[in-house]
Amino acid sequence: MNATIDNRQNEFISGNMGKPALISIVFHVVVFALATMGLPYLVEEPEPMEMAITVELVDLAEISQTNLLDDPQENEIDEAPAERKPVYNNTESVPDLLSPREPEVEDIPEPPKEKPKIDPTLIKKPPKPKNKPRKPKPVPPKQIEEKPKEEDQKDFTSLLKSLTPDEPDQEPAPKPVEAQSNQGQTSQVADFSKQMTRSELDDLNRGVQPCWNVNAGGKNAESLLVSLRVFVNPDLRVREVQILDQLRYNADTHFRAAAEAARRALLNPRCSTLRLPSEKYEQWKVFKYTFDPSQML
Amino acid sequence: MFRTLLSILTFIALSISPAAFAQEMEATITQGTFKPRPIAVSSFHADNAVFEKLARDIPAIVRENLERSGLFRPINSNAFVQTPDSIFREGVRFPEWRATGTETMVSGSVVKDDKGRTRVEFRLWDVLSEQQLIGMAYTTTPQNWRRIAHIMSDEIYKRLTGEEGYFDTRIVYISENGPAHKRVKRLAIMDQDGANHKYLTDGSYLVLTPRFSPKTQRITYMSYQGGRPRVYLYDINTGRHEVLGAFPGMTFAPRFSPDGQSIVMSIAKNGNTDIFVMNLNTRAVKRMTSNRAIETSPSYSPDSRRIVFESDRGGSQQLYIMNVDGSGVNRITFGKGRYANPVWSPRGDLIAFTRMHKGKFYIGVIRPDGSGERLITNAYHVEGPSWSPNGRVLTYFKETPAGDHRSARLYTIDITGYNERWLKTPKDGSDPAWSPLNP
Repeated sequence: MNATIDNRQNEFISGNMGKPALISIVFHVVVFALATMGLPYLVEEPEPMEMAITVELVDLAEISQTNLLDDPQENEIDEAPAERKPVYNNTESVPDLLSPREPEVEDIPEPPKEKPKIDPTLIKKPPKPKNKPRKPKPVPPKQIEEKPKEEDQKDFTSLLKSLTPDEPDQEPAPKPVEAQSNQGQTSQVADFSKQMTRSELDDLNRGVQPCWNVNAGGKNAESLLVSLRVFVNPDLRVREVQILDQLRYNADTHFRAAAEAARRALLNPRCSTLRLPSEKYEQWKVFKYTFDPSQML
Repeated sequence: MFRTLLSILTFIALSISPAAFAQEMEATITQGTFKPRPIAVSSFHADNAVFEKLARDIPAIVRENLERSGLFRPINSNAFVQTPDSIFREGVRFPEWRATGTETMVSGSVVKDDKGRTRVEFRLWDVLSEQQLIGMAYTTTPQNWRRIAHIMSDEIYKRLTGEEGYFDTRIVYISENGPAHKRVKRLAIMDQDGANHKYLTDGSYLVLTPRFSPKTQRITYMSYQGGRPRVYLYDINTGRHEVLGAFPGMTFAPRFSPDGQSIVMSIAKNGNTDIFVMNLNTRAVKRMTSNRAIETSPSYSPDSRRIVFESDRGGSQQLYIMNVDGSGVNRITFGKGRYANPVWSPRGDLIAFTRMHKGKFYIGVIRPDGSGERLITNAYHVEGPSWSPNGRVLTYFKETPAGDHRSARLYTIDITGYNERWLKTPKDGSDPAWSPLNP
């Protein structure tokens, strides 16, 4: 028996017992840590009593006066009254509403450039922009016996006069003018349907239509789509009109003329009060308005 | 570094833009109107009594030009809210002009500059947006006042329509007088509004079908001078006439190429008529068609790649288009009756023609692909369409069936088919041909 104990002691001493001892130490450390952190929560402390907070009601005006003005009595005691610094208004950011507004200064239009002296017998024209004439698109070859398609004539409506010979050359093809018109309106409504009803949209367009003068007969006039950003006052009057495609406006004389005609339509006193629902002002106070003549020409 | 910056900017743009315009509504208008646009053309300010007549006459011509185009409606001067002097001194009072119903207005002045020359200044205003659209000045002699007015009209027209103007141009035509059996026909030229009329031939021989060069101050025409019908070339600057080539047959229906360096025409020989082109520099002649049918009235497309002509190769007189090398012949008209005198528009989108059907004549237009035929005017006899240099207006002549008392008059019409106007001439007129813009 003693021999056995001695052997164990020897094993322990000699290191054979090192691993279990290490596990035991770790276990004890963990138990001790849990006891240290967990035991305090075993006992639930009573919640502290809410303390009543007293609030003193004072006149706000008095407080603000107190804070903004120096206390003369304190100043008398400690030192000579400090000289109050004048308060300067930032005249750039704070307008002086009492003074009359100065008239807006507009740039004086540039004086026209004088042409060089011209031969008395022949006046030179001012230099014209060297825009190369547009080449017509190549037309695919057409068979001699092929009849011209009546559908090709559908673009011409009432704006372009066409006499009819005594006898019609070909049977007139049914012309779904109404269908086309409805299609266009449908697409309009799709854009605006979230906020505007169809009748409201139609009413807006009916009000502007008499003032939108389209250059029928102009080359490719049907393709001159103009988009404007319109700024409207609460009283429904157009305040400002911006032409969106400035690049094309500056480069294409046809587009420029079409864009200015569209702008004039909205600025014309006869049409500048838009027919829009007042209650939806927030929705149309700024909106994009596209003038599309493709269905007219 | 650049990529990082770009990424940041892109992120900012993507983040901000939708937010900024997220609430913007969109609407589309598809119907408008087509009517003459109101414009106020004020008399000009004159700085001395000598110029007062010019200050009235120049704007008067501008008014007439714009009104005659059919695209503008000059406001009656009784409605004007400022005098020329008031505009000159105070500027344009836009709100008051808006009340007159005008959209744009023209003001100007005629003054003597520091070198004693006449200086004419004009400005075009957008009354609604309160902007100056044009401001130009011309220095010249008072004798050129009409030309200045036409140039101003062109500038205004271009600014408001986007298209080149056509007011500073001339029209050459055949002046006619006398009974039908002894008709005297003379080559004549005038401004597009009928002013500055001149005769170029004395009437001792028959002249027909004058055509203006699109680039030069030359005219080609057909004449029976010497008893033989031939194509001639006339230089306006030198006054020189010359016959084009010594061909065995009859030459007729001449027309310039777009660059003015060639003339395409018909030559009839042994009962057959074909189309030929002559280079004016080398005088080399090239055959364009070779067909037993009668092929005539050729007219170049503005890009010089194709030629439209009339032919009866299909059994009736119709219009055809071919490439300039004679290949790719395509028929473009299929209507009843006969088609003749095709003329390709300078802007290329339309071909004008004369159509005869059931005893009536029509002037019409058609697209080069054969679609969109429209007949825009008709009469007992209407023929000879010619385009204005901007391709917007046609001129032609109409005849009345009055026997010995027949009359022929020149007219103009917008290609929409509206605004037909009588172009007054001292005597009867036929076969008008429009010039390019004056150099």
